[in-house]
Amino acid sequence: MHSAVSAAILIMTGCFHLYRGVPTEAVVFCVAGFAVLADGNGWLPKPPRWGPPLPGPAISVLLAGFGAVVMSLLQVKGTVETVVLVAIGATVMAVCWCQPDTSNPAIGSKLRPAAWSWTVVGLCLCLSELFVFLLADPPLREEEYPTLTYLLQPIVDQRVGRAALLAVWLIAGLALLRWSPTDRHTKSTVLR
Amino acid sequence: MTSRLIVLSAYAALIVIAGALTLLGHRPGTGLLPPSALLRAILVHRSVRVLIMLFWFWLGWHFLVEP
Repeated sequence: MHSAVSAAILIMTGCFHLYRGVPTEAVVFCVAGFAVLADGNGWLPKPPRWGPPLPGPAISVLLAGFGAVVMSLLQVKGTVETVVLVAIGATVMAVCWCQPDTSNPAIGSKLRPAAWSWTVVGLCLCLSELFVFLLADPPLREEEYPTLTYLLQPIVDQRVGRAALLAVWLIAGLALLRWSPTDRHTKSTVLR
Repeated sequence: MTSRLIVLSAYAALIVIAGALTLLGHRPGTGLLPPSALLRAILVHRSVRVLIMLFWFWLGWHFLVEP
């Protein structure tokens, strides 16, 4: 069930990226969607359980701040920045693929209302962004119908704003990895 | 201009709702979970991990690298 829903969302997102003219992202999302579907049906071999040591919250903030400053000094949309981003993405996807599937029954009763609430908010955000994108027909009417990208781009274009958004992005990524099963099963891998 | 205001209001409303959900999640007795606890609960599934991590990665890629 989880894998079918996740695969559907990934493949639909891939199709949308194809529509907006970014085939590389379309391929990445569709490949991820089909991989998730195949894994959910047991068609892929069980991945080896693997996870590097993950920093705790305090070290994450320090690391993210340092990484953001370094990355914000790189040439915007340059080769080095692209390679760094691809390396981060490949590592993160490998870690999250190799983390084990587990169950967490302890918070089951509160999970459903919270999950539904956030799903509705997320769906509203995605649909509003989709409609705004279609109405804006970028770049023709973006001033009239501003997408989130259009609104955030001036911040990204400034070095300080770019560094701040990079830090938030890195902190979020490290937190997501830390909140994945490795955290609960191998506490010793989290560096405080 | 009106359409721009409507779009910005919709984004603002979503931010307020997300903030309210986060605050309610941290208050006992509301029947909701904080976002971090919710993520811990759903990230146990590989498919959900791939979905969420790929969207996270895409955000960085979209703003930093995508032409």
